[in-house]
Amino acid sequence: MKVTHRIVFSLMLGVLFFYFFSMHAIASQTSEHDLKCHILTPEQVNNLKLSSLIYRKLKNGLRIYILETHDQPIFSLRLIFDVGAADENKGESGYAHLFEHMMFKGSKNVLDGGHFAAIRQVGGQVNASTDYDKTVYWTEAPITFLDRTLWLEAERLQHLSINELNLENQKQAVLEEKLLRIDNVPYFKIASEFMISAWQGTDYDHLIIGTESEIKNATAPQVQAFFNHYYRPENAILVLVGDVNSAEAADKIEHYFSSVNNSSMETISQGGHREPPVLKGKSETHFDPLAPFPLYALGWHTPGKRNSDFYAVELLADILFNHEASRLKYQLKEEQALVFETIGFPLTFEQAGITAMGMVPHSYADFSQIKELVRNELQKVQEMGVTQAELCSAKKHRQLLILDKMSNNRELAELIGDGVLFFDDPVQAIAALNAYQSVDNEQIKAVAQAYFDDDWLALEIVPGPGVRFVKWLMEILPRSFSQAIEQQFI
Amino acid sequence: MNFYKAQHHSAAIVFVCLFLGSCSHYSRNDPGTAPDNAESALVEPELVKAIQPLKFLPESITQNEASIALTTPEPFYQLVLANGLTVDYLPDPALPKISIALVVDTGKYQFNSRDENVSPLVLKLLKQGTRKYSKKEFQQQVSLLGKPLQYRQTAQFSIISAEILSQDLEHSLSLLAEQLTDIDPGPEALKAVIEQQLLENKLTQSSGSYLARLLFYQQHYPPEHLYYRAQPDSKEVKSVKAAELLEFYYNWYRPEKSRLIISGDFDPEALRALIERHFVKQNLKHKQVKPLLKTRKPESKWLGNKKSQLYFVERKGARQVDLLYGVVTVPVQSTDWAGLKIIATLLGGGPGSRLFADLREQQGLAYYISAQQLAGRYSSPFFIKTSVAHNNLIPMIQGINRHINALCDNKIDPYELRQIKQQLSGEIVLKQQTSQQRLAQKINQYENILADNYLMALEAEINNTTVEQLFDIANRYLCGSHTIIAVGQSNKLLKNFQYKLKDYVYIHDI
Repeated sequence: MKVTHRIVFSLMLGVLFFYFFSMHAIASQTSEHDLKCHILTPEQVNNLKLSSLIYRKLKNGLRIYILETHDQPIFSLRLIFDVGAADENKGESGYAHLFEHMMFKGSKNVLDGGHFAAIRQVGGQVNASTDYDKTVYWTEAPITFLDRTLWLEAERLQHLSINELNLENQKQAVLEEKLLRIDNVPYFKIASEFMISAWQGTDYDHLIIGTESEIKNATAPQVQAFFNHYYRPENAILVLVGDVNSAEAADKIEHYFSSVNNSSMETISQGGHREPPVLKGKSETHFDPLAPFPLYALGWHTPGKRNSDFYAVELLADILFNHEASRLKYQLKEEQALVFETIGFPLTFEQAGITAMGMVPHSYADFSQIKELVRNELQKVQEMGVTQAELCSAKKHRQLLILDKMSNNRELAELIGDGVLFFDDPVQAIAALNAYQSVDNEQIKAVAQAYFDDDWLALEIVPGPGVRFVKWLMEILPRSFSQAIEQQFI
Repeated sequence: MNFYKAQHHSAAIVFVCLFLGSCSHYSRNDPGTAPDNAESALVEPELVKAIQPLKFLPESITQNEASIALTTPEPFYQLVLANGLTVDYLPDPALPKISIALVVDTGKYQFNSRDENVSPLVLKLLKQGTRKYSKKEFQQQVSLLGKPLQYRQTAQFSIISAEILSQDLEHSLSLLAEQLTDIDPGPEALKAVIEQQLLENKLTQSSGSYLARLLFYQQHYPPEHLYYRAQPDSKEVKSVKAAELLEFYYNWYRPEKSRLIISGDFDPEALRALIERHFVKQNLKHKQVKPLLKTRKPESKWLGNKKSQLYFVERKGARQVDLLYGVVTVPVQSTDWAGLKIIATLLGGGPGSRLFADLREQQGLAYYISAQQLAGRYSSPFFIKTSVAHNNLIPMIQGINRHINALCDNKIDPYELRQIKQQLSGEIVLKQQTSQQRLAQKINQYENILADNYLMALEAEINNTTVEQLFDIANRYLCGSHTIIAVGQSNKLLKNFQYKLKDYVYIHDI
């Protein structure tokens, strides 16, 4: 090659290099620009409608929170009792939930089923829920029926009627509920058994809905004793959100509820919860005849709601699982193609939580491969943290979840009630928005190190021994071969 | 009652449910004793009438209760672009968030049988990247919205929706516009969407209630009917080609066959400018190709039963029976639809309804029981759905039949009808609460070709319905033959049914 040609060639090469790198730089800038992420501004947070919340405490101890919203002529009433499955005595699993059913079985002045009918007849929604930490009764209806709703709630607190006949049909209904929600749902029965076994030694070591034998053994006097013990005004929080005048509504509530007294009731023992033991990982395999395909699950013991790491854990869980582009999901589904689908989320109660991910594996993927990948990805987070875009996306996700709840009266009442119950702060939702906002990369690294190690909860569920054998065969065959025939087995 | 709440509502329901429950050591009654139990259940309890005058409510309260006054909600504004894209928008500054949906006029039901397999695959393909973005890039862009984009199909539409912060309006519009620009049906993407569809089929078919619905449609609509097939065929899905996906995409994912529906906190002027920027100049190089021949019909006579039929469907390992009671009735535009809606509400419209009050609250036969009149463009079913233990199946069917017979034999009490009307009015008020609800109603309006203020029109129709009309409607639609589908363990089902219910044709091992 002649010198001139060399120079021309070098120049061309230089131009190409320059072009390539400058384009790359532009691409990087574009990419950086495109990945800009803006969470809620302080001004937007300040404008959220919780500032007009009023509080009143009745002489009998009932705490009342009222928030005016005038978008629609409706209201949402929420009565929260500080009792849940975690408070149940040994041999009485499921009582909190069974009792929740009994609250609709009539009282001195209301027929069995009359509470439901009185609300449904005006187009209202009425329901209740029980979890480990609380029992909640809620009603949502047109505003003209607020008095009716308050009267009904106060009436059943004062004059609830519990008898063996009512109890018997609700025990049957609860057993059917257990079949519907747990026993007859693929994977669910095994996964829930596994979860509570992981919580042995804590107050969450049993089923919220209870066991069949303990539900069947419940008697009317026992259920009455449960009511006397826990359904007391000073153990309750009432939240009203809707098209009301706060002062007038507070007077109304006082009018109906001040006669709910404690004189015939025993005092609530403040025994407190058991000191949680150090929770360990465990690994199990089960067969489930209802399962359409094999399932792997991994979980980590994560802290309860009151722990200061709570917010960072939720953000990290989002970074790992929430989006198609999130760390573990992308690696498992796209990069390594080990699973068809995966989903994960933190499940957090007052005292403890479990952050879990479930995966439908490809035929050729064995659990140890997946565990190895997860271990490596977690190690990267523990050492290097996450990107700003990842952190911002997770913060935005959590902020949107709170805003979604603020958009309707019922969930807004839930935010207020949970704030009081768990944090003694009715506007804790705002504090939560700020708490998510303030989490930084160092905290993400810290919670990754503290909770997301490989002393994990590992569960494998397969439809039956035959499928387990076929899958084992596919795992040891060359991957390309298994991939080629896999579709035939779906 | 819900004793827990699902954390996510995703298609992958299996994982959603994964860790939310707790364990039990459940041992069911010996099913061999079921016939004896069933025999005793033949002693019919007195019919419980759910809604009676609630005399227990103090007069001082009820006399001050005004009737429910519905107010016409503020209508959506509309903008139609030169390229045919319709934009419906409703500003609502209550919270710094926006609900947004891109609605494409092609859904689960297709006029061409091949397209029924292709349509859901194309929607899934939208997540696999576009001309501008690789899959990873596209998903990274989506992740910046905070919540993932949601992809779903109704009978008529494919819908991509998002819940975003107000500051992300432009970003979300640019991503939605991208979905109408091009797709990438490369081999990897094709493989991925086929796998997802197969998995989805298998997952949904593992649900007893879903299986019952699938069977109902196949038994009540002829194969050429639009409603015949409620799910893509797994075998045919495996043979779908990339070219078919592209062709379908080019035919349907076009501005003139789409609409954008937006509600929430935005400035209308700024929104219009953003839409101009992202949708008007959209680079639509692809050409619409000629649609395939139509092999499905929008409407044809359904297959009526001469005698009521009872189907058993085997679900191995089932610990409970999923029960579906159904008849085919009318499309949502029918003048009888409001009456059927009233009857469904009366029978199984939540707590307080006749079936709930009797079969759950009095007899404890089930936890969940509901009746619903489905709303569709074409003749749609009236369903009663419940799940019961195998040995409660006969008393449950007898209980449902008693309540249906009561409607066939007696007019509804005027007081009860007044209460149901009030209930439905109240439900309409509660449905106007959030901008998300308003957006969902707008989609429903287009889905079923309804008037702009269709909830108000429905309320008027309901209020004008008389007890005589309801009696007539009940007799025309609910008092002839019907179909019951029971999904459970067939050996236990059959033991229950022998000699017990003589008015049915029995069919099993479907």
